[in-house]
Amino acid sequence: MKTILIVDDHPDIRNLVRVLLDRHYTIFEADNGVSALELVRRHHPALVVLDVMMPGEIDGLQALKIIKDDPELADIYVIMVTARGQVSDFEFATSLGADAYFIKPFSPLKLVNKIRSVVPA
Amino acid sequence: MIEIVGATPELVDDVPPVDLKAQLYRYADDLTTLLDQHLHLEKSHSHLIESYQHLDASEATLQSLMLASRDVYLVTDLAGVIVHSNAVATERLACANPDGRQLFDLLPVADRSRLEALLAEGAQGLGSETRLVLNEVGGEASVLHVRVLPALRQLDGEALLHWLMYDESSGNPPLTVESNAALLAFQNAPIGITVTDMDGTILAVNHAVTRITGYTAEELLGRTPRVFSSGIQSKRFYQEFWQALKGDGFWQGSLFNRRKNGDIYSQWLTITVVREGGVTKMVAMLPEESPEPKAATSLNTHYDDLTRLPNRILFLERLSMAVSHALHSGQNLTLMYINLDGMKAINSKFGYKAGDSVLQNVAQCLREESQDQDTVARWGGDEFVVILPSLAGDANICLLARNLIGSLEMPMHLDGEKVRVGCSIGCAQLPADSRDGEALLIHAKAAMYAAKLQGGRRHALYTASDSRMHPTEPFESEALLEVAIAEDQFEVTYQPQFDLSGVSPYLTGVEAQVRWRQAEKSDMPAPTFVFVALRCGAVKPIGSWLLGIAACQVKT
Repeated sequence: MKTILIVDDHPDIRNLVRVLLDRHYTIFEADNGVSALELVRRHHPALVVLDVMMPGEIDGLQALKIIKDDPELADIYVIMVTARGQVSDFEFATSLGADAYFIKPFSPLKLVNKIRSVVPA
Repeated sequence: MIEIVGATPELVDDVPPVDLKAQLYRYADDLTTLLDQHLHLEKSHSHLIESYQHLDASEATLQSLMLASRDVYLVTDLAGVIVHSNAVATERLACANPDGRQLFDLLPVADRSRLEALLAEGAQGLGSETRLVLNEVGGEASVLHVRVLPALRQLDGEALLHWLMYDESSGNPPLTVESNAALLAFQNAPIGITVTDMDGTILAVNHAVTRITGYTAEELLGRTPRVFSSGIQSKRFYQEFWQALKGDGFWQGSLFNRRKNGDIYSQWLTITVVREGGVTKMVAMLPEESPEPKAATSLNTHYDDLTRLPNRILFLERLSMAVSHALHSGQNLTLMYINLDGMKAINSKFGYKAGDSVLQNVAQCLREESQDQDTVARWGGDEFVVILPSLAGDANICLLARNLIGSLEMPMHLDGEKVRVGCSIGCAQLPADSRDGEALLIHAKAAMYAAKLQGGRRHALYTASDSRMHPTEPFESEALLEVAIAEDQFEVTYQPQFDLSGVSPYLTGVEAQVRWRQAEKSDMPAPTFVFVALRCGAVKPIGSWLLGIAACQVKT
């Protein structure tokens, strides 16, 4: 099974995403940027669902930048998920190398379809 | 390339952070969508399963039909590559496993272009039918009837062609008649029946057709009725013929056909276009005998329809035989010419149907009075003739004639009324009056007129003086008389009557005599004219006309 990392500070949101995917993928979860980067390095997931707004030292955008700047991790497909949906965030995330961008509340169906198309189960 | 999924960022700028509740609603939304999709899929699925079951069943039926068929059955793709074939195909194409092979390579047709044309038509979705000549190795050329039907394979919608082929000479009936009874009736109908397709190709013929034309069914199947063509009809005739068939779906008429032995004969023909189940066929009915009178059945040619007595034709044949027999054997022969009295009155009083039943009664009576060697015939109208071989002697003849008149006078019942039919009989004898049949007939007729003039209900033997009373033809005379009355063709002459018994002649009166002047003929002798007038009931009108004229002339 391929590996997917779900990063969100809200455990209910993480669970909602997890139930969509855990039958076909190995799921890891993180509630902050630091643990997320640690798991990325350790498991090298095929895909990361990354929340933009997170408390702590490293938020979503920073984590994205680190992943895409690291040649060893740059191939990881990163889907940014944000409640803010601001143009600035979108443009910034794009400039940092985000592969897809979902706005909360997102359609679970569309998210699953997207993930399945990028990382076949 | 980055993708954005959801609302566009511009529209959602500065909205408050979305909570869990909002996200759950999205899940519920998607769940509803998914349930709808699921229901839809479930339905499609059950339909699919159902249709697969039907497919299985029809596939099984098809398989068993193909196995049971005595015809070659093949399925090819549009390029002619065999996809499926039955056992007969394997045998006929002499190929153990024809599937996957090109049909053209296996079928030894004489004209490959026609096969290609069939394929091309099939590829356009058109069904077609034709006959192909096969040149089989080591075998005689045979004719194969080929039908191509385009079809879509249910499984994947691929266009395929179904080929059905049968040997035209194999006796495999190309026209399926639904039941044995219908087939039996068709084959044994007393009328020739030919079934063709709209191109005229003969699909079926019955036994009567083979009797009429001299061809066997095998010789005709697959060919067109042009084999019967005598070449006598014009192109224009055939143009009109086809126009009628295509326009009205019906044609009836007579044409000249040629039999297998070359005889040309007139054929009465009724053709009907029959449409059934989208297939159009032509059914031609050929009576074995033409309905024209000269070719009617022998019963009708020789016997009178009404009385079933021999008619004029048969009578004349019998007369000439009887005459030559009598002359040869030295025996006598008597001919009686019988004319009924008062038929005109009966017809006008009771109608022609009653008149017909009187004639039938008279015929029956004459039959009963006659003996085996005699011939009783109906000459026409209310006239009968009797040939009496070996009857001789005036006394014998008179006795017989009186008997006949007596039996005919037995009252008959018409509409509850008693009717008596009288008759006048003229008799002529061989060899006394003539040794010639025709002359005897004329003499007997003349004698009958003589009897009629004596008031009817009596007989007369021919005497030489009778012949001058013989009018041209009674019916013609009647018509002339009618014209004469209408056109004042009568002329009245007066003859003074003197009483010579006294000392000096004494004028007792004037007799008015009427003469009938015919413009183009000499005057008809008075007795004949009176007879004709009597016959057709014109005595009264002539009488009153005469009185009128005489009265006028007396005044002047």
